[in-house]
Amino acid sequence: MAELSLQQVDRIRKDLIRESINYSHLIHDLLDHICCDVEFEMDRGNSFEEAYTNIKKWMGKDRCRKIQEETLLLTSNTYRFMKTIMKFSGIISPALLGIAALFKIQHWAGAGIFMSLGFFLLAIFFLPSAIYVLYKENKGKRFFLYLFGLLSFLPLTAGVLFKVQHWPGAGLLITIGIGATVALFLPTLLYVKIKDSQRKDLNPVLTIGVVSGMVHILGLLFKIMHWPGATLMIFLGSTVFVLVFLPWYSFKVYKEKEYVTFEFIFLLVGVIWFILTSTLFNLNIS
Amino acid sequence: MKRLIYISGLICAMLLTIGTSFKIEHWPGAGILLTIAIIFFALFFVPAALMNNYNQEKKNAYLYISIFVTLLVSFSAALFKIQHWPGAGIVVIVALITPFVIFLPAYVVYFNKSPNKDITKFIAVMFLLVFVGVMDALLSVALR
Repeated sequence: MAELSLQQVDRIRKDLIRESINYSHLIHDLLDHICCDVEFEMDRGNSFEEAYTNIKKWMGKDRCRKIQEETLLLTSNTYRFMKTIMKFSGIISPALLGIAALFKIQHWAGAGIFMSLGFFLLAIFFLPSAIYVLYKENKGKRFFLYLFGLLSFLPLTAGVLFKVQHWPGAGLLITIGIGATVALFLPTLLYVKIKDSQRKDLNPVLTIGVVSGMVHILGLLFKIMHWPGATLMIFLGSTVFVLVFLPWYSFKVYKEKEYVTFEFIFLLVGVIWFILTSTLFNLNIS
Repeated sequence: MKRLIYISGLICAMLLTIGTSFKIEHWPGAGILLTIAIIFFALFFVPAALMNNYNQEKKNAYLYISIFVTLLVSFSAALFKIQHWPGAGIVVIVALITPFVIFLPAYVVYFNKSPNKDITKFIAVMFLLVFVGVMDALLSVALR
C-alpha cells in the first residue's frame, strides 16, 4: 500500500484551498477522499505526479467547488432560498430594464413603471442575494470585496434610476457610486486578484489594467459633473488600457490554451462595449 | 488562425479607441476609423473567435449563434447611431431587446442543461446583463 508523504498531502490541501473550499469540515473530507484515490492509483504503479494528474483529470474542473455548492444546498435552507431569488430576480430585472428603455424611446406609456420595478427588483432582491450567494461560496474570504461591490453598485443603479425619472439627488448618488467603485471596489479587486493569483508575472499587467480603468471611470464622473479635466482622463485611461494593458495581457495568456478562450472574447467584447457606450454619452453630453 | 484572431481583436480595439478619441475631438477621419473597426470586429473577430471556440467541443451551437446575433445587432446599432445613418432608430430598438429575447433565453436553457453548473459564472453573466439594462435605460434618456 503506497502512502503519501506529508508534503504531498499538504500540496493537495493547498490546491483545495486555492479552489476556495472552505465550508466547515468539507475540506478535510475531500482531502481524505482525494488522498485515498491517489494512493489507490499509486498502487497500480504510477508515481505521485501521474496519479494526482489522473485523479484531477478524472474529477474534472471545478468538481470540488460543485460538491461544496451541493453541500451548501443540502445543508442550508437560506442558501437554497437566496439562490432561487437570485436566479429569478437576475433574469427578470435586466429584462424589465430593457423593455423600459424600449418604451421610453418609443414614448409609450408605462416606461416609468417598468423602469422603477426593474431597479427595485435589482436593488432589493438581485444584488443582496447575489452577494449573499457569492459570499457563502467563498466563506469569509472576500467579505470586503462583496461589501464594497454592494456599496458601489447600489448607489450607482439608484442614481441612474433617479436620473432617468428626473428625481432630485441623482448626481449625488452617481458621484457616491462611482467614488466607491474607484476608491474602494477596484483596489480591493486588484488586491484579491494579486493575492490569489497563481501567476505572479501577471501582477504588473493587472495593476496597469485596473489603474487605467480607474482613471477612465473617474473621467466619466468628471464628464457627467462637468468638472474640468474629464476629456484628458478619459483619453489617458482608455489609451493606456487598450494600447498597453490589452496587448501585454493577451501576450501573457496567449500560450495558456490551444484555442481562443471565452475569457478573451468576453474581455474584448466588454471593453469595446464599454468604450462605445461611453462615447455615445460623451457625444450627447458635450 | 488563433494568432490572427488575437491580433485582429487587438487591432479592432485599438482602432476603436483612436476613432472615439478623434470623434470626441471632432478631428477628420473618425467616422472611417470607427466604421472599419466595428465592421471588422462584428463580421470577422466575433464569428472567427466563436467558431474557433466552438470547434473544441462542437456542442451547444444555439448558444454561440445567439451570442453572435446579439453582438452583431448591438454593434450595428452603435455604428448607425454614431454615424447618424438613416434607419438608426429602428436598429437601436431591435438592439435594445435582442440581449433579452435572444441571448437570455438561450443562456438560461444552456445553464439548466449544463452538467457542471458554475453559479459564479451565472452571476457574472447576470451582472453583465444588468449593466446592459442600466446602460440601455440611461441611453434611452440621453438619445432622445
